[in-house]
Amino acid sequence: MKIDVKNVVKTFKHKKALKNVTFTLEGPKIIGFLGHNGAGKTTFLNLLAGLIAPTSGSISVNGENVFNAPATLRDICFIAESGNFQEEMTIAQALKANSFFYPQWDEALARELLEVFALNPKDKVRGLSKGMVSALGIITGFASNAGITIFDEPYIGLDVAARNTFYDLLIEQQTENPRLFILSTHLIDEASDLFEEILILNEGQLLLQKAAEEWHQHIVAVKGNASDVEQAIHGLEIIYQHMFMQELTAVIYSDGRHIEGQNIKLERVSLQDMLVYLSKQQKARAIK
Amino acid sequence: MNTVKGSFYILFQSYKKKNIIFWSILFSIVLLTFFIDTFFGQYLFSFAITISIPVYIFYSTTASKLLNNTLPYFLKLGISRTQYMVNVGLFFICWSLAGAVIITCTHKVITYFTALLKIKEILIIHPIYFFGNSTAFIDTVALDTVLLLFSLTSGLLLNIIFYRFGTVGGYSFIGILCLIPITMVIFEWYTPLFELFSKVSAITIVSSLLVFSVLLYFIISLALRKASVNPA
Repeated sequence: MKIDVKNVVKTFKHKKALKNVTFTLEGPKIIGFLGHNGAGKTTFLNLLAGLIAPTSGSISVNGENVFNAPATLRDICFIAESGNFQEEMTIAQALKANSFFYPQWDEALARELLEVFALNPKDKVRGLSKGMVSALGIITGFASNAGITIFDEPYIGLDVAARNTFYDLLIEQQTENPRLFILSTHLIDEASDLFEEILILNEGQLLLQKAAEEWHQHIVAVKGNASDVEQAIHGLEIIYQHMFMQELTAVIYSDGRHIEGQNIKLERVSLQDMLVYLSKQQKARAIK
Repeated sequence: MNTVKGSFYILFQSYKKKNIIFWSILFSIVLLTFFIDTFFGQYLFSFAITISIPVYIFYSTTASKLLNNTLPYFLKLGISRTQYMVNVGLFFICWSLAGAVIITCTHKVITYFTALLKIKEILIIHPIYFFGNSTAFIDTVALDTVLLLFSLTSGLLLNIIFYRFGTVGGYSFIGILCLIPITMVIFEWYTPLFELFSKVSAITIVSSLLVFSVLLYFIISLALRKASVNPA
């Protein structure tokens, strides 16, 4: 499965949600699709699932445009934060409904996962708790066997045990039936070890796209005296910087370059920290 | 084919409860009317029953929320907007036919029991009486099917206006619709209209209404081609 995103712009009435985004994704792989609130993640995922049309640019899967293209969309299962099921239906009916639309639907897996998440097939979706609806979404995502399975915040309301079950299932499914999984989540620390590739959107633009193993080589925090740090990072792309107690911390994109300097400390930046930095940066800009 | 089956399954399951509630209420009212008329009708009241008009209203109001209730769900299941409109159109035809058969059967049952219990005070109101005295089963079913299709399509038209243009656009459209009869009264356009209706045959009127509904549905389909999952 290959997703080609070319110069995608999405504008809503008063907001440009995506600004000329271009990248390519190729699977099977588990991809972490990250960004702070309002970065444009859900907008992009909606575009990829053909739910909205781009203002300009194109998104194609294996060379075929996704918008209004059922042959392509059959291979995409999008589990959104909410609204994945008709509330009048029971769990069994919701799963049966899905089986008509996903050609590779695995009924046996769906039934097995109902037991794993302790869901009663006769319960109505309307009466389910948030966590149970999330569990039903996870079951649908896995049982669909779609070539591209998108989970947008799939575990709202799920407890730690259920979330761990989800992570285990994700690894199990990727081993048994490799696919392109796109996982968008705010619980980055929990899920970061699962990602094989990471995409970060920031204010509607693609900030970076890296394989997980490349992450620590390319994103580095440089700490120390302001002048020393500035000298060491000269010419490098600064993602974020802040001053605290006369110590300057600069998160930089090193692009594999070796950073040298006197009285400076180099630290790894976790995905979680990176997003906290980006969020702070956004807030600072908003205040200005 | 699977998506057509799936769409029918989802639409049926989604509206099953509403239909059961509606028909239960309607049949309860009919039974109550029958009961009151059987015991008190000859002394106090005479009754007029209409089954069809509440059904037209019910179908129309249900269709006026259809897009908000089902379009985002179907799009998430990976069907195109054109497929959605085709499947919904087929569902509308089946649903109208089912509604028309129930209405006509109910009329026949009421007529049968009225004769059996010798109740003379119950009058059935149905649009078929505007076209003469024929109450043949097929004629009534055909007329009701067309009228129900028209109700569903008009409801859907209203829904798409609200869906695409928001509350302001939707209510402005309703305002414009309300202006039409007022204008007709002011300029006395109703006289030639009534004359036209009285001259043409029932078949012509029903066929025109069917063609108009299909045309309206086609226009709605065009308007939905690039519709977003999020209403305006």
